[in-house]
Amino acid sequence: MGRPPKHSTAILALLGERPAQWRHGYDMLKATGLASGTLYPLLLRLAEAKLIEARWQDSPMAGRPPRHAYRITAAGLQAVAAARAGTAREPARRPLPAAGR
Amino acid sequence: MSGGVQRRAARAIARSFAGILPPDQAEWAAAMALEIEHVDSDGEALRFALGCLGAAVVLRARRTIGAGKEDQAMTRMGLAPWAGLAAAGFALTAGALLMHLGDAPRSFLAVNLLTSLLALLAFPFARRLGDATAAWPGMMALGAAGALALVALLGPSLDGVARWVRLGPVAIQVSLVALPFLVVAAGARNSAAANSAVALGAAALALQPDRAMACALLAAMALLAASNRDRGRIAAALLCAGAAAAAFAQADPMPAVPFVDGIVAQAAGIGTPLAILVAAAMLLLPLPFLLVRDAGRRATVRAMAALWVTVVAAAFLGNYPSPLAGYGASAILGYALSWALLRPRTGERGRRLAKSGHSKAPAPRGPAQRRQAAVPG
Repeated sequence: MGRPPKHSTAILALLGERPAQWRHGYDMLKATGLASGTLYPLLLRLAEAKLIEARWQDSPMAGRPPRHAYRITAAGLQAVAAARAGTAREPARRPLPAAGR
Repeated sequence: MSGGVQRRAARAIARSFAGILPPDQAEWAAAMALEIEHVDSDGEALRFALGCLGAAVVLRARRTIGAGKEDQAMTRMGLAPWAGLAAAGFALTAGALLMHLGDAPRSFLAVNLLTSLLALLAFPFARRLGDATAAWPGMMALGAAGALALVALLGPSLDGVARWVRLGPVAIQVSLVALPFLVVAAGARNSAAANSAVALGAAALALQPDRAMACALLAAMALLAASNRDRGRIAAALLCAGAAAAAFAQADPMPAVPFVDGIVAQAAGIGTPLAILVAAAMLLLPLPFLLVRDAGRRATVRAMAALWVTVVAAAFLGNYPSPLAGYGASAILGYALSWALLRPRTGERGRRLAKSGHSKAPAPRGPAQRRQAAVPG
């Protein structure tokens, strides 16, 4: 499995912190800082790739509509691990020479 | 549910998501729409909704473009249609230069330009004709052949030649538009109806008479017959040969029309570089068909290439229309139609998209659609 792009990795990493927990879009938006226009296409793509799963949850508050919730899958956890391994292997950047030399 | 102006605006925006996204993504439309109700502030809800609106548009665009790419991937037309467009543009430009330097009537340039624009605008519709031709090749072929026959029998005659119909001030050579239909239909299905239609069309070309287009149809059918050596196709090809011979047996008194026929020689009278440019432009026209790599339709594509090779050759050898580089709406329409008709069948595309998980059919009204309908007003 290839390394997912940066924003996708951020979403997977967030969900991977508590793999058993379902999270909602607005919560993830606040946690990642992504805009809704970026977040939802990524969620759709991750769901199609079976890296996350989605389901509807009834709202605990009366009168509130249900919410779409998301949870990482086993394949998603592997992708996060692969992304972290790839980052760990990247060579450290050379420091730029100081000005004047 | 109450809310300020911004929250109500956000809800109004949310109601558009289901209409923008494809039916199989209705759940995501509802997901975005209903999440708005859980956003803390009204202002944030509006920003959330606007972001989701952009997402819906992008997702829809990706689906549309992705389907187009899948079309190309499935048929392996790849860059060939774009090469055809480039070849057409080059020929039209060379012709426009000839008309400008040769002091052609301005209406010639205008007709070619307007026809080109029409061809571009009508291309998506013309691709549906390709679907129809692939689905009902016999019927479409009979229609094309019937048009050729009607022109031969009832069309206006000029010096004993009947090849055109008048659309206002413009004369359309019907065969340049009808033959692409015959080629695609004959290639789509080896049926008695399609082969019979080809024979009828060939007979009509002999009756008109039109040596060039009779040879063009013969060239196309010869390639199709050689591809599978079926008796029906071989018989149709032989009848095309007979029709071409009959056309050659008749006198063809048509003189060269400036800027229509013999334009390479006409360009040479202005300057050798112009003649080379015009000649090269016409010679390039059949080549893009050879770039199509679709193994399943190879015979049809090559037959179409043979059609246009013959049309171009006739323009060099006799007083026959110079396609695209010369004045004439017919060849422009015919060339565009040739590409449009080679598009894959919608049915095929739908079946293959369905296999890959994309559904063309509207999803039944399920929980997602009902949730979307529950978005507060």
